[in-house]
Amino acid sequence: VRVLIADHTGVLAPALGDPDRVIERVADDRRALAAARARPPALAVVHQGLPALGGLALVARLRELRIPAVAGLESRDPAGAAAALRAGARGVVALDAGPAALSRAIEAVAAGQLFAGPGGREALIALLDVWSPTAGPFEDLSRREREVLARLAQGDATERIARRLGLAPKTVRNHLARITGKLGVQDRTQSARLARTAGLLAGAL
Amino acid sequence: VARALRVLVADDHPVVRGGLRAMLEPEPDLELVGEADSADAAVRAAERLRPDAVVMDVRMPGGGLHATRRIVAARPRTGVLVLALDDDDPVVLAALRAGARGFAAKSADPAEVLRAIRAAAVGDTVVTAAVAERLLAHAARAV
Repeated sequence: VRVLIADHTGVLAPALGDPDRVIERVADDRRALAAARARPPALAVVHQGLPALGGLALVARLRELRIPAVAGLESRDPAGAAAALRAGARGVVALDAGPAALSRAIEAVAAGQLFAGPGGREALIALLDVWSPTAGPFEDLSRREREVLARLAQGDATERIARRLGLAPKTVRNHLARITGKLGVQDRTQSARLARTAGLLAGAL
Repeated sequence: VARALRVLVADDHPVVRGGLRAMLEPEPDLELVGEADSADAAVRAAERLRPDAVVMDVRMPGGGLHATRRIVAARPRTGVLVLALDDDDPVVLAALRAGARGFAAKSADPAEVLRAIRAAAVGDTVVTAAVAERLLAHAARAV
């Protein structure tokens, strides 16, 4: 298995003793992209803090090249795992989880699986929820739009939704306009009714 | 050498249990510590045996996902791998939401099932390749 390691720290090195893996190492995103184009790897392992633009930007570029990536995360903060998965990472693993965990991530992603190391589970489920085609009429809504809609369905006014979700009221109004458009209804009252009918409430998100 | 990972098998079909037993037997790092044939029996066995991983049939008397929720609530470190006849997205998502750390179709390659058991036992979450492909296709459309 050809693996591209994009790591400026050396922290990823101990995981790579597997003789079945052909490793290419680079220390910044520009070199990583050049290497990925010249000699496409089966997958890439990317340090979250990679110079110059950060590892997740590279993950997104690699996705355009159809090269699956494992993101090595600097903390176990679920927000980091969520951001990496949204950027297109097929696997997320905390850098402090150790070489064995990284090895499992490489193996899983090389086999076409989605992988979350310890701490990444909630982020993975949240993302699958958004992707899932089983959401019915709400399929096209982003997760944020679903959150806004769920609050609207409960009867919250714009100001209150904004406060609860930490958004500006104007942003909430923009979300509501987009939701109305995506659901193909006339106005927010109809959006709310549709959501209530489908049982889309905040507790169910 | 690390100790073997302790595995509990929960399925109401003796043939499936026998198949899993035969799969686990040659693996030095996996130890079959118990079997259960219903959701209630699985919950009780998990309580008593404290396995690292539980292989859980989704359609069992009492409900495999119900048992999954109870086992994970009682001991969050338990890695439940849900096993199902098909790998429809709703089943996969329901299993993960119930607290499972992995999902495998009964049609999956034994090597993939063994890998998923090990992953669940050590705290990883894995979505198998066929399911991942479909979800990523939906994601590409949704973005």
